[in-house]
Amino acid sequence: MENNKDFDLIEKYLSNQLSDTEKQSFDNRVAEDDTFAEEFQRQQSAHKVLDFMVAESLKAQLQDMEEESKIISLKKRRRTRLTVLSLAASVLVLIGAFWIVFPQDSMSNAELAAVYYETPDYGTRGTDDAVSQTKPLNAGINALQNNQLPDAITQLGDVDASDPDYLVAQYYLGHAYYASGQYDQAAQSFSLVGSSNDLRYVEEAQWYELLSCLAQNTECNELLNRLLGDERHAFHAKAEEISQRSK
Amino acid sequence: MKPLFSDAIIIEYIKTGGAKRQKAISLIYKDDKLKNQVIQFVTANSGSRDEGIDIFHEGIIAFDENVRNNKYKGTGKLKGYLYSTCRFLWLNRLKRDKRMVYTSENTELDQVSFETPEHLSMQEEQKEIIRQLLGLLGDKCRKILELWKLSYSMEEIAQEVGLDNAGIARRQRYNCYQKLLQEIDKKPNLRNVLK
Repeated sequence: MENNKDFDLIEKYLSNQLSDTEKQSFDNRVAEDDTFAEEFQRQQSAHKVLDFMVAESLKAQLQDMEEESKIISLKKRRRTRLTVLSLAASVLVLIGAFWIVFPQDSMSNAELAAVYYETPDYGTRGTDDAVSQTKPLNAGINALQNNQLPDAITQLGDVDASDPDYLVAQYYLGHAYYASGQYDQAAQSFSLVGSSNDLRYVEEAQWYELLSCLAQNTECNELLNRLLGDERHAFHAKAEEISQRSK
Repeated sequence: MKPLFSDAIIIEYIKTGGAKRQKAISLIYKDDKLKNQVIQFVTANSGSRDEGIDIFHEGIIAFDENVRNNKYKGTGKLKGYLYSTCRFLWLNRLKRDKRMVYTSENTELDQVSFETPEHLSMQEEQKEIIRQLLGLLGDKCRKILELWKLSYSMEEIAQEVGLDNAGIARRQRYNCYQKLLQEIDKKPNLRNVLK
């Protein structure tokens, strides 16, 4: 369009940046000026296409979250079944053990981290296998699964910050560092993912950042409070358990 | 228990965009009570559980878009609005698929008018036309335009897409938007789809 002023005015209208009076005068002009109305329709179509794109992207995110919650609930169910069986056996053992050793109610930070740490789920989430899973990422995750930790650290660390899978790589890099006892580096990787916008990994990364901190037997109140303060956080209940069991 | 995030904060977060919008959407999504209410309504009205989940997602998408485009008036409770939107979307889908079962409740709801985004009622082939058009823009352009539409600042866009600075992001945003307009010009029928 020749007239940049009109172009910007239409953009402002479509982005809700005009006052009520300005909107009224805008609507009048659309009704009276055919050329202006034509350009308005053109830019409005572009915005509708963008709204469609945003909606499709959000839909994909929500579907990923749905899959995640299904996996978590399956794990919980499986864990509950195992817990019932193991509880029955444990009760007998505990009754006997009670007479020999007095139970310890509280644990050190490092002990808590050891109790609560779980190896990650190795399926990368919401990514297109053919397009976005880069080679170092796949190789790194395979190495981590096979407990080849130095190799996993090298491969995952090689995924460039400009790569679309950088945050995924950092998440697994955190686990590779954790498994090799390098808790400080693990905390750094998890912190990076935990402060990102990637809903697939953000809450888990915050939880593992806390465990990486606890594993160093240092004070981790700030990280713990972040989870305790958000009752909708996926690891809120576990954080409460840690808070109660901490020495 | 009193929710940690009020309706006003959730709406403010969506309008702010970026990470705050993600947080707000995550909070709505995690509202199991609301989700189950929607699923219950859909399953009680000729739908399956999966369709109930799908409608819950579409309700969130409609809400997000209406808030960002200042179409959400915010007169009642957010949960009530979302639930009504989902009911409206489901009844529309039943009508579209000719599966409508008329009950007194449906008749009443037929008269309720919600500002739901047009793309939610588009046919699949119409959506495919828009997807093809977006495909012509390339990944980077699509990402830049999506972030811009979600009110990210030029600095944030530069950071997210891996550009050197906000100035470059601004230029690229302009070029990508012009490319989108040109592609729309090449498809005069598209405007009818988007009307």
